[in-house]
Amino acid sequence: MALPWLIGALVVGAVSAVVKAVNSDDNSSSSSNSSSDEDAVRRRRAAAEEQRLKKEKETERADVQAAFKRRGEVIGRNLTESLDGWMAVRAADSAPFRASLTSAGYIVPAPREDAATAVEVLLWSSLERDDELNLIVQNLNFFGSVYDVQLRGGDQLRRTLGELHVIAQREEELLQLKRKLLTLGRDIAQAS
Amino acid sequence: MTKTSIQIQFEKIKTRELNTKPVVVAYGLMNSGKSSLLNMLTENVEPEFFKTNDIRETIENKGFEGERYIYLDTPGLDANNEDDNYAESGVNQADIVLFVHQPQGELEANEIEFLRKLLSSFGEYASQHIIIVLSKMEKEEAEKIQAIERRIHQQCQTELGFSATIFQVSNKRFQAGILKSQQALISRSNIPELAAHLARLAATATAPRARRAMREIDVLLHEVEQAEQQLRADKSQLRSQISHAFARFNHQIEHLHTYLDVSASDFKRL
Repeated sequence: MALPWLIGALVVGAVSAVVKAVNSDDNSSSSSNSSSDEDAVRRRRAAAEEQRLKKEKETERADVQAAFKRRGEVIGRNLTESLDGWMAVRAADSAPFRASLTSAGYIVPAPREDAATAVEVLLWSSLERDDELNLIVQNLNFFGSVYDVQLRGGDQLRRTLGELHVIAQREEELLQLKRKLLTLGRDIAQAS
Repeated sequence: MTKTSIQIQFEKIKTRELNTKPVVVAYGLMNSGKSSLLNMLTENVEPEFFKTNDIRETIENKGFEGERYIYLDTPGLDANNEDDNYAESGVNQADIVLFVHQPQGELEANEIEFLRKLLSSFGEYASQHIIIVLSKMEKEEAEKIQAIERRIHQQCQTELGFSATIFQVSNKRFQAGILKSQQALISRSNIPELAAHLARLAATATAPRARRAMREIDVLLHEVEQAEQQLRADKSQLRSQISHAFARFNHQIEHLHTYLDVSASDFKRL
């Protein structure tokens, strides 16, 4: 009797077919799983890289800012030294440099109200306005804005301005005297 | 000249100009008869106003205000240096000078020198306003006094370059004439002629003063200009000191500007 063999073959065949079908299903779901994983990994890696780069840039920027400030303080000390005797420079704290760098450039906070005002008044009241004086005042104001300092006239400046004031007084007296002499001369000439 | 001394000179000129009466100043050697002459001209015959004596009496300038003039007596030119200072201080006040000379001889060297100063002060008015008075003419013979007068004319021409107006007078005759009411003595004194001559000069008497004042004012204006120049120089020097003092600061600020700009530019590229 072949039937049992045939039934057996049919069963084997069916089983094989089933097994095959099951296997091919398994294969197609694992390949779609692995590509999305890869994407995720790539994305994570890119994000991490981006973060790393960003952090690196931030660190670099911070370093540049710090170096910028340090150098700024050195320049500030040089500026103060250059005014020795002529201006009294009082810093609000030990690191008065106020400028900072941004992506748009450098920024400086609004200057203190009295940073250079007193000096400005002192100079304007004693000296004739010319380009040179304008520049000095402009530069003092700039110094007073970039650095957190108060500027006052130093001993040498006060002395020099004092002498100029005396000269101005004498000039005025001589001018008055000259006017009187000219008037007297005119009166005498008319009378004679 | 300081500003103060210029101011003082200005006040002197102004005060002089305010005085409208002409000033007649008597100059001459000691005991030449200056004080006596002024006493006669001012009718202070007795008592005398201007002190006279054989010794030196006048030691500083003394003034008498008459109707038309102010008369000023001075110490003798040959007395001493201090007296000379007083005498010379009257030169700038004089509108008319009575240069009194005793007719013992010609003008002496110090008289010539003083006349030279007067001429410089009077300029074109010298011939009219400087009157040489030969005093004490009663003491010499007329011819001798005439000779002396001629000699003095010559000295003025050749040594000083001006034509002198010369009067011979006798104070003593005038005084005696007044005290004794003798018109003849008065006339022979020549004092009335001299007084009349002064009266005629009164109208233009202050012209030398104006001229002198203008010259003094010019000198003072020049002094003022000099003083102003010095002040301008001083001011310029002080201004330079300030410029120099801030030069380094200005340079440092330029450096700061550059630093900020370059730093910002570099930062933007990060």
